[in-house]
Amino acid sequence: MTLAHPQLDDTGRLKHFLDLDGLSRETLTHILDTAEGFAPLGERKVRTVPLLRGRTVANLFFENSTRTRTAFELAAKRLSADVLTIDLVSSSTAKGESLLDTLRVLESLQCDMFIVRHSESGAARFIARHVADGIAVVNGGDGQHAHPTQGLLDMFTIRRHKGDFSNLTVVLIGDIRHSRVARSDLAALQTLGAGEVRVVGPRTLVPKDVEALGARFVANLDEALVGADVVMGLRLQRERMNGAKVPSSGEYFRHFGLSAERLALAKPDAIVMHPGPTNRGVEIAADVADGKQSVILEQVTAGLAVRMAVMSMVLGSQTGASA
Amino acid sequence: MSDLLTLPGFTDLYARLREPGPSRRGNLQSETRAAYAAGFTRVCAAPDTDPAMDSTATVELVQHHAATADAASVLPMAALTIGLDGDRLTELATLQALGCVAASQADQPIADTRLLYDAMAYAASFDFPLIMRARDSRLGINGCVHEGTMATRLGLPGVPAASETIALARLLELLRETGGQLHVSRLSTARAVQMISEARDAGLSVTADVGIAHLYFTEDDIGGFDSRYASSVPFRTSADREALREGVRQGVIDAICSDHAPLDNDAALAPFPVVEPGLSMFDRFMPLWLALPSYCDIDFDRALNAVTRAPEAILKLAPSTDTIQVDATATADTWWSRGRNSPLVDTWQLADGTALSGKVVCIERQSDDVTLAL
Repeated sequence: MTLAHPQLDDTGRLKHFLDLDGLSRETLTHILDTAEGFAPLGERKVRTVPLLRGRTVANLFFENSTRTRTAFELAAKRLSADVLTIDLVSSSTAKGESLLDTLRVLESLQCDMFIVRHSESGAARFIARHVADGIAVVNGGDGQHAHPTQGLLDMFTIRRHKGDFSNLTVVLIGDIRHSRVARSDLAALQTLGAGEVRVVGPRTLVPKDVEALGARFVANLDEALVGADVVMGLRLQRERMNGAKVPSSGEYFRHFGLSAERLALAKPDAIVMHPGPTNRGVEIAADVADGKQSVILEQVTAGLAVRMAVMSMVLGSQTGASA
Repeated sequence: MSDLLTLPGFTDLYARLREPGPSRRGNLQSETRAAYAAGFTRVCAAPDTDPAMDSTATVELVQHHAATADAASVLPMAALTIGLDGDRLTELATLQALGCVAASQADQPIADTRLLYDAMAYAASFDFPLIMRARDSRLGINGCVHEGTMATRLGLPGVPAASETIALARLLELLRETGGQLHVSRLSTARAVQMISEARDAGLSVTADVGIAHLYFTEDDIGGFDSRYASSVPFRTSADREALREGVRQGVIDAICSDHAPLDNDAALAPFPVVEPGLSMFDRFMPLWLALPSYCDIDFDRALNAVTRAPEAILKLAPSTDTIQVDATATADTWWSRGRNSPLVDTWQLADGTALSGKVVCIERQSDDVTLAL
């Protein structure tokens, strides 16, 4: 009746990587530590390690993405894996083939790992449940549910700047409701024991029971920013800006945009984060996005080390070798 | 050898028998046979077939195929609007004369309040019962789970409780104007139960039912995107479930239906938000019904009334002369429905470990002078 643990094997190792919700603090910390080990590679002349030589990683992108796809591709190449990226957005599933049929075809290509990006919540979990034995699934973002490597790279960046999580006040601004990044960040912050997590945004973009995600709702941005150590903007999708969930991008920026004046309410050493791509002048003022407190580009770089850590650990667990 | 229970044949107020339509999901043959396994000797067939039951030709086809299926009797429900489009009324009086026991809009809401008003008034003039689900045409229409903590946690589009209560308030206010008999199909929220109770106190002629699964499951069962719990009428909170049980205990909810919705594997195997909602209920209806006293604290007489006298009264049918014999401790090996989309498909246990049992072993149809050992 009960389903097996979706991402851990019998010995507690990662067999898939689908969601941060449900992983222990030890596991998250172990991944972050492993990522720290990979981070210096980027500074070297030779940036590859042979950990996944001979293994095949397939990027299955059922939804458009440039950043995440590129980061996964590069991370896999740095681990010496063979990488192929399959654009499925305009492909067979769009022509009516069922997701399971597509999956069977891709399994026949004899890959070791699928990186899955899909527009439906729960898609990575669904694929992990139905995939052939011996293929690991890594969630590259599923609908509005989770984007666990993004959540981890955010934690990696925060930890580098702030160290311990327990005294931190973290503020997430904007579209919590539709954001898989927010869900993964909130799950990780809760597991890692962040001191206080506040979410702020119009009620159309913040679910009424957001406390279930371990965050406190604050209606007013100025109030939310006071004493913050970490300020995280979230992307507002264009289709939600024009009268649907928000009357206009202008009104949104006036009330929930991160400007330099507002940022001054946070601690002087607060860092500013954003998963990108940013809508300048909507979620965040250009001078803040480019300002000295911004770590937005560091987040992108951290994404490489974190994804190398995840891929090597998941495939390492499959062969029985230690990661 | 265990004792057998002898009971009157049950009457189901809402089941999808899938014919006409793609037979991989079931047909009248397979689903009326599965209805027997549930204890139903009469089943109201939902009109959301393909094509919908909006014409004499379709209703006659259903009647003809049901007769040759030779299992549970099929009571067709007329589609309230053509193609269930919510725009144009069907020939309700003609379909009633043909043998339809009620008119229903199935799971499709009617956006146009004026049309709904006319539909209710027209049905009232022929004393034709309406079986209507309370569902707003916009609010939560793209949702796939109750808008609550599970929706928030999993990032799934939600169906607010207000989607049901707003639609129910509209139905009740129109009923006040039009008169007639309204049966509200498959309640899911605590507030809706309270509204039915208040409407009845105010003298309105309204009855209600609940799908049996909603007395057992909540949003928490969806857990890790378990699409076997994807239901068109969403599973809501444990407080809602308790209010539904209390509604049955108090008689505010008159009847318990199967809300049977068999699906083929392809429709049931997909990521949660795109899976077609519905649970194949017939093959575990009897054990769930038998567990109502012990698991849901609903006394036996009330539970029996909710599947016999109450639905018969709503449909203005004479009491069933059929009898069924049930072995309450047996479990059946056969899964009769073509749809295997059920969390109970390979098990006789609820998620909390509670064991289920109960098997219909014999059906006696006085009307047809037939005895069938199962």
